[in-house]
Amino acid sequence: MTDKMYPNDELRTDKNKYSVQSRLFGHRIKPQQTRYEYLVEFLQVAIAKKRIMDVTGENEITDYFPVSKDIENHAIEYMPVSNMGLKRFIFFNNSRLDTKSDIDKKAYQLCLETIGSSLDKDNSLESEKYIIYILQNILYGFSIENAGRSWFNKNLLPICPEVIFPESLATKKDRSNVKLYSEEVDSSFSFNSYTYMARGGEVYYLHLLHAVNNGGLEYKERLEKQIGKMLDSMPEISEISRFIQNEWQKGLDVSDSNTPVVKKKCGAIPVEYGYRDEYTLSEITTFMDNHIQPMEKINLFSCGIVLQIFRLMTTTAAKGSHTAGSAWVMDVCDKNKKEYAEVKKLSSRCFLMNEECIIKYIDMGIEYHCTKPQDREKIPKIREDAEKDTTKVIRKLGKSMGIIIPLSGANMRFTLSEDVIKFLVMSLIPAGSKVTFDRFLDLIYEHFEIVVSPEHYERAVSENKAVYQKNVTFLQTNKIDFAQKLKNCGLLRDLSDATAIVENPYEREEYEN
Amino acid sequence: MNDFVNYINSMNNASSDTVEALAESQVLSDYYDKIRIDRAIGKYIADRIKKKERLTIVLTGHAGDGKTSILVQVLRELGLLTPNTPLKEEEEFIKDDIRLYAVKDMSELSENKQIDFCQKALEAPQNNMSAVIISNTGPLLKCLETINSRKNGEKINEAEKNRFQSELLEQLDSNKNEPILIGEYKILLINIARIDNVYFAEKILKKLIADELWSPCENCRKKENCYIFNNVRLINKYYGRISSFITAFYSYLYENDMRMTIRQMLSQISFSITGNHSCTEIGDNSKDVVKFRNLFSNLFFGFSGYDEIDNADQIQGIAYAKSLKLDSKALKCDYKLFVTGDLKDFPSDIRTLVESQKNIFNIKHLNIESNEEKDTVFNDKDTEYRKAIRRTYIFFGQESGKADKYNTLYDELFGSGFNDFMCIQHNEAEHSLIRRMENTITNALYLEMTGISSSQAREIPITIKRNDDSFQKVMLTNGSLKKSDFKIVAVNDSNEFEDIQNKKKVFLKICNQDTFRLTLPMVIYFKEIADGVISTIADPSLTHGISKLKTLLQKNCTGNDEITIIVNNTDVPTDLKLYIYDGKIFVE
Repeated sequence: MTDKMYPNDELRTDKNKYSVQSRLFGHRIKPQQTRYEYLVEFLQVAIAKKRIMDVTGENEITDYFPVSKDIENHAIEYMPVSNMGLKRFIFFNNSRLDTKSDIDKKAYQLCLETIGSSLDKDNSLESEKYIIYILQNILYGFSIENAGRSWFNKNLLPICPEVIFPESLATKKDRSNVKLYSEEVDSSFSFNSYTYMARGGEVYYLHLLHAVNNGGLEYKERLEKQIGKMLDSMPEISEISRFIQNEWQKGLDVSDSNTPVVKKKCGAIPVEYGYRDEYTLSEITTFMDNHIQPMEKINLFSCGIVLQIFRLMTTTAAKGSHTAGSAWVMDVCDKNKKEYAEVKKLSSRCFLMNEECIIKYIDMGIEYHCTKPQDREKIPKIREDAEKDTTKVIRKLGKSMGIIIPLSGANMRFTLSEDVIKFLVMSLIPAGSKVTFDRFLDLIYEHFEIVVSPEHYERAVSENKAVYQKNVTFLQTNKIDFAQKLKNCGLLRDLSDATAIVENPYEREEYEN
Repeated sequence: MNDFVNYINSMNNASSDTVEALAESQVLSDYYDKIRIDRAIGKYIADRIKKKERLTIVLTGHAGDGKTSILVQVLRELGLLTPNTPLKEEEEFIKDDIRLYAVKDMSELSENKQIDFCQKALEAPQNNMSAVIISNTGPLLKCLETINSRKNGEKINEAEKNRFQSELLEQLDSNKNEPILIGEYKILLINIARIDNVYFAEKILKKLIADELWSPCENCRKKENCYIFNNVRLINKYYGRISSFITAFYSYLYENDMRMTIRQMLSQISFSITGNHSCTEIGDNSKDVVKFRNLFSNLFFGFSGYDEIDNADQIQGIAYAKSLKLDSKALKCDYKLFVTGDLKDFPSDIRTLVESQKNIFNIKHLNIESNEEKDTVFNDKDTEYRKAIRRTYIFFGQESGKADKYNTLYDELFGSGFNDFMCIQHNEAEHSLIRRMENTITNALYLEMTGISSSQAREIPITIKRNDDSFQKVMLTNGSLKKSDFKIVAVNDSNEFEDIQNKKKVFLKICNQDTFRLTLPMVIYFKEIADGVISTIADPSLTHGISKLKTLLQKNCTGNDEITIIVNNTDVPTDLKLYIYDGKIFVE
C-alpha cells in the first residue's frame, strides 16, 4: 500500500484528506451515480478546457487528453460550459415541483417568450406552444431516467457537447435574492456539489489520462478523434441546443455569458490502476471504431466504463490484499440444465470472494491510513461508508446493467447481459474481424478476468485469481450455453468440429482527416 | 432374428456398444454399402483428380459429418479401394494416370506426424500428385499455423498469426471453391460442416427402411408383436408425413446454428426405430400399450411412453428435441384431442393405439374402476399423457388439405414465420407470401424505429431513438425509407460442394443497394416484434444482430440540411420539418 496517487498533489493536507475508499479506489465512487452519468461526467472532463494547476497558469488546454509530466504532481482543473438556460428549457417543466424557485419560474417564462418570438410565424402552420413542446421533447426524450430530481440536477444522455451539463445545485433560499436580467440567474448555483455526478467519470478520465501519459501516446490522437466523432454524430441536436441557449442569452441580455464560470478540480486515482492502462486504451479505442448507431454507442460505452471500473477495483483490491478472488465466474447456464445448480453455486461463491477482496483491502487501508487516535474511534463508521462506496456500488450498478442476478435474494452472482456481451465483442475484436470462440474466451479472461469455461477456471486458480475447487467440469455446460447466448445475439457461428467463431459484424467507423 | 437391428443399434451412443459408429469400422461392414449415400462433393473431388489436376484438398468438418465416407467415395470412384478394405493412416495410390496421396484422419496422429503428413500433402502437386487430407478442424488449424510460421521464419509476430488465422477462419466460414495460399502452397480447404446436410435425413430414413434390410422380419413368427417392425411398417406407410417433420426439425436446428451431423441424424433415426432394443427382447404378446410405448414418435423424443429414457440425451438430436420442448407447446389441435376427445385426425391404425392410451388415461382420470377410497388419487400423469399424444400427433396427425412440406403445424412448433422462410429459401414462395414477409419486417422496423405500431404507414422514419425502453414523444429522424424500398430476395449461393442446388440465401435488400442476410431466428424475432411480444429485464429476448440492420438503415438514409421530426400524437404520428436560419425557426 502506498500514499501515492495520480495526480499526487495536496492530498496530505487535513482539509482535503480523502476517505479510505477514495485513496484505495479513486476519488470518488458513489452509489448515486448512474452508469450514464459516469459517461457524461467522463466526457465532460474530456471536452472541457483544462489547466494543470500551478503549471499552465491561465493558459487553457483544449486537448481532451493533455500530455505532460506535470500531471503526475499537479491537479487538473477543468471548466465545463454550464448552458443553464438550455438546461432550464429542457427540464423545468418535467421536474420536482418543490425546488422550483420563483426566479427560475420567471427565467423559464422569459426563455419561452424569447424562443417564441424567434419563431417564424408567417410560415408556420403550428402554434407557438406546439413548437416549443416539440423542441423541448426532442431533447427531453434523451433524458437519463431520474424522475425525482430537481431540474438543475437532471441530465441528458451525451448526444452532443452542448447538453453535457455540469451538475448544479441550488436552494430556494440561495435563489431568492437573484434578479432577472442579471448574470446570477445562471451563475448563482453551486457547481461543486458532486451529489449525482459524484466524480466517478473523473476517476475514469484520470485512468485514461494516466494511460495516455504512460506509454499510451499512440492512442491519444485516435481516442480524441473518436470521442469528437461520437459527440458530433447528431449535428441537428447540436444546432437546436445552440439556438436555444443563444436565444436565451439574447433574451437575458447578458453579454459574454458564454465564458465558463464553472471551475472544477479533478480528484485523484490510485497509481495501482496503472496496471490496466494498456488494456483500457486498447479496449476503448477498438470499441469506438465500430460503426454503430449513436444511441447504441452511448449505451454500450456506459456499460463498458462501468465494467472497466469494476475490474480496476476488484483486481486492485485482490492484488493489494493478496486474496485469490478477483475472477468473475459468469453464470450463463440454462436454468433447465442439471448442471445449473452447481454453476450457480460456484458463481455465487466467487461473487462473495470478489467482495471479500474488496472488504479485506478496505480493512488493510484503514490500518494504513487511519492511524490517528480520532480516526481509530470512527473505524466502524469508516468501514461502513467504505463498503457503501465500493461493494454496494458494484451491486447496484451491476444489477441495473443486468450483470448481477438476482435483483433481490440470496446467491448473488455475475452473469452476462446482451449489452455487456456486445461491448466485450466490440472492444476485444476489431470491427469486421473474427476470432475462434476459444480465443474469445481467452480474451475475456485476460482482459476482464471473466471465467465461463472449466479451462479458464483452472487457469484462474493457477494464477491465484480464484479459489481451488476439485471438479469444475460442470462449467463445460456453462461454456456451451454461453456460446448459445452469443449465437442468439448474432455474434457467433459454429464453423465445424468444436470450432466456432465469434465475429464482430460491424463496419469500421470512418474518420475525416 | 434380423442382424440389421443389431447393426443400427450399434450406431448411437446411448448404449455402450458403439463400435459401428465410426466410419472407419463401418467401411468393413456389409451393411455400410446398403445405407451409404453418395455425395456431390465426393464426385466433384474424384472428377478433378481424374482430370489429372494436381491439387491438395483438405476436408474438415464436425466429427461424424461424413469426411471419411467422402474419402471412401473418392477412392472408390477412382477405383483405388475395394469394398471391405480398411483405410490406412496415410497411403499413396498410383493407378494408371491417377496419383493420389491420402491421409485418413489427422486427429488420430501425433503432432509430429500431423505436421509431416500435412507437409507431404502440401508438396504433393510439386511431386506430380494430388492429395486429400481428412482432419478435424482444431488439429488442422494448429498444424497449418505451425507450417506457416516455419515457412516465414521461426518467429512471426502476433499480428501475422492473427491475420493467418483470420484468413483460415474466413475460408472455413465462407467455404468458397477457391484455393488459399499457405506460404507458397495452394490448398483447397473444404469445410463439410458448411454444406447443408438437412436433406440427408429423408434419404437416411428411406435407406434404413429398405425392404431388403427387413426381409428377414417378414418370416419372423413374432412379427405381429414386434414394435420395431411395427415402426418400420408405419414409417413406410406414412413416409411423407414423417420425413417431412424430420426434415423440418433438422432444418430448424440448422437455421439456428445447431447443425446435426450425418452420424447424429443416423443415431437419432435408428434409435427412433428400435429404441436400442434387440430382437430377443420382443415378447410373445402384442399389446397396443407396448407398441405405443415404443412408437417412433416417442422414441424420436427420447421417451418410452410417458417416461424419459435414461441416456437417450446422449443422442444429440434427442437432447435438442427435449430442450426445444416441442411436445409441451400448446397446439391448435389440443382442444380437439384433450377436451372433446375427438381422435379423427389420426389414421385408423394410429388411432387404435391412441385410443387405448386414452381409455387407460380416462379410467385413471375418472376413477371409473376405483372404489371409494381411491377416489382421492391424484392423476399425476396429465402432462405426460398430453405430451405423448402431441408427439404422436406431430408425426401421424393429419391435417386435411395442407401440403406436407409446409405443414401449418410447423409454424406452431417452430415459431410463426418458419414455413414462409423455408418456402422462400427453396424458391417456392409465391409473390403474395414474399409481400407478407416484407410487410412483417417493415412493420416490425416501424415499431422499432418509432415505438408505436402502424401497418398503415407507407414510410419508415429512420429515427434517432434511444436504445432502452424509454418512450420518446418527439423524435429526430434522419429522413425516412419507403416500405417499398425493402425487398426480400433469394440469392443462389451454392457451389459444387453442395448436394442440393435449389436452396437460396435470403436477403433483405434496402433501396436496391445494401443487402442484409436474413436468418430464420431473425424472421421469427421480427414476427414477434410485429405481433407485440414483450421482453422484460428478467427475461430479455436477444436481438439476433438486428442492430447491424439498423446501422444499415441509417446509412441508406443520408441526411439533408433540414431537421426532420416525427411527433407521436394520440392518433397518427406527424412529420415536421424544421429549419434554423438567421436566428429564426421555421417549421413546416
